Amino acid sequence: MELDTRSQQQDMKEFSFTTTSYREVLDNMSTDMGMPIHDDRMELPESLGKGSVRFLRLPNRMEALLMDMELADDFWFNRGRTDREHYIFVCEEILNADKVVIRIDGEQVVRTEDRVAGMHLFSFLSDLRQFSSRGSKVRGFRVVLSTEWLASYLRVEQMDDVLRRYLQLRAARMHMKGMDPDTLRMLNEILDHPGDMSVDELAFIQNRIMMVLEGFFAWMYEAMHAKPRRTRMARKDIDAIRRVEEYLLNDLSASPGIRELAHYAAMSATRLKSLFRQVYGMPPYEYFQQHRMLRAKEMLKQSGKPISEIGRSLGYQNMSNFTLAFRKVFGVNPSDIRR
Amino acid sequence: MISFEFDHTDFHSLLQALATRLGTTVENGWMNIPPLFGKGYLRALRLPNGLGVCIMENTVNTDIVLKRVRRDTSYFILAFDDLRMSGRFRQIVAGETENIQPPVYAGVSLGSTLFDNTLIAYRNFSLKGIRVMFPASWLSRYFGIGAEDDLLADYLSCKTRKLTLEPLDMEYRNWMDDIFRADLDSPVYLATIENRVMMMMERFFSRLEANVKEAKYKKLDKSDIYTMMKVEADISHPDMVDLPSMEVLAERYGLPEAKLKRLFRDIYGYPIYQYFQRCRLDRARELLMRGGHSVKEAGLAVGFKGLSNFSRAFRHIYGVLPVEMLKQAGEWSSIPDHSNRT
Repeated sequence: MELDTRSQQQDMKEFSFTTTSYREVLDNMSTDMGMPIHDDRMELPESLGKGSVRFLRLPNRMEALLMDMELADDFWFNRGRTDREHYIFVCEEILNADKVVIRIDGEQVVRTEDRVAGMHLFSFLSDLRQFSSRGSKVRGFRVVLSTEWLASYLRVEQMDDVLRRYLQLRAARMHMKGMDPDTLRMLNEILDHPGDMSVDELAFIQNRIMMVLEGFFAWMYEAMHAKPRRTRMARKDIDAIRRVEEYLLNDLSASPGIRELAHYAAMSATRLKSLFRQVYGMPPYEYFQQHRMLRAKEMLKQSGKPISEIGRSLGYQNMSNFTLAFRKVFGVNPSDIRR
Repeated sequence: MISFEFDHTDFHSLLQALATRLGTTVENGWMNIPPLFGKGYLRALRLPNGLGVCIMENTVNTDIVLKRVRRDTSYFILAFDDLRMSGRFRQIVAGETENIQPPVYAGVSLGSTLFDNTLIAYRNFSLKGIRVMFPASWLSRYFGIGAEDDLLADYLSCKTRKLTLEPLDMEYRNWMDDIFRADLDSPVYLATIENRVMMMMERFFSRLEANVKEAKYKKLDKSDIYTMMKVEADISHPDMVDLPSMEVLAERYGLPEAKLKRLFRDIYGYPIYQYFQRCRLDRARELLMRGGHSVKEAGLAVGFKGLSNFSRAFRHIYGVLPVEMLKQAGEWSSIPDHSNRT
């Protein structure tokens, strides 16, 4: 038994670094493992396995490391803490693993499922050690996210607290967000990029990395947000409000009351008012009046009918009320239109 | 009638000028169309990666003449338009006139500030569109495409739009829907918009080469193309839950059955029925992912009568059964219980 452990210990490969630059990471790896770098890509030495690690600097200046490898030996990938407030995002799928260990500062999570696939976010301010057992197939990418990046892509005032809570959740921060089919498809496209496209490969990869990041942060926000989710307007409400609008403008000589509209839409008056405002930007009656006066203006321009008759046809028995309403919308009297 | 001339290379100042012309104001990049001219909005947005974007959804009820005056600074303008119109529509680019036939134009086109570009619309139209404006240097940095690239020169010099038609198909539509549906209050809002815009641009530029070189629409009759745009708009519409028979469709669009099938496939890449099927399955998937719908409800909502038909068709496209998708959607939406102890 003892001998076994020792020989395992000796066999075990390890790579450690403390920098926040992935280019340096790849350079260090190359020196450590005695393997050359071609086009920012390094093949694994045979003793460690098959496959490669690749450095990318994306058009948006983000740095990424792509890994596609099959380990011939147990492997520790260790990142020592730095004092830069940067984050690292990892999206990977590990197949055929007997054991995957993730250790952050002193704590660790051990996973023994056959397939470990998901996404994590780590802070550079803590130690991170990741172990994958021999025979594992590791496919994934990791990117460095600076605080500036977070500030420009995420509303930090909303996200700050969420981010802090995520990183503080001792179990959660080591818990992956599961890999959904969309993300897996993106990951596969990133690693097996079709070479025959006319757009740049980097653009292609960047777009997919960004989609994965978006999905992750949207999830984090939803999952960590203490307040109940702000409900978006449901399709059926929008449709109902559109029908209300048609009904409202159906007869410009008389405006249906709010209660009538609410009855028509089968919802409460308060709800109707609030939804209507969300869609059309003003209360129903004001909206109705604008369209009514618009019609009045058209008629004034196009027909030779007396002003009073036009007013009457739009439901105004009293001329001065009509003039007042018209002036409220256009700032001029109906008679000014005729001139 | 509204007549408006402009030569801006950023949407914020363009909207500002348009607002002044229409007697209204821009707030936080939003401009509402005054009721006198129609309804809806135009919205200018600056994305983190430097792209200028204009998002619009509006109905205009007056004649308009919009003229972009050429200037020496070169910017590209990529337009994703879903346009429904009751009257004629005319576009004049560098002196070449293109008459767009009502009732539908749904396509993607690339323009340049180096040419005059006039748009004349008669009477009512409604437009759901996204415009992206960027200098040549941006294109070369983000997509590795140089402005001197023959491809772009060829594209921009194509005499009529017909030669380089890029129809707005369901892939573009899905991304556009995401943009219009995006939650303004979400912290990932800007990332959502940027990512969709980038995917749409990637698709446009990666298809551009084939589009220009093969000029596959050259042989097609222009009015046939507009008819196909109408067909596509109809069958991808959310209300379309049951596709009429080919016979009925042929009758409705005034084309022989065989010709209708061939044209549609040539332009949209799928036979009509398959295209319809994918559109409604995408909708069903969206319902499942968003939550609040059972598999049965999602299937019924997009017109499947039997659960088994729905499940089979769904798996055929997405590789998983709807019930699996639903289960996964639930799992991802929350952090698993055992991680909640702190």
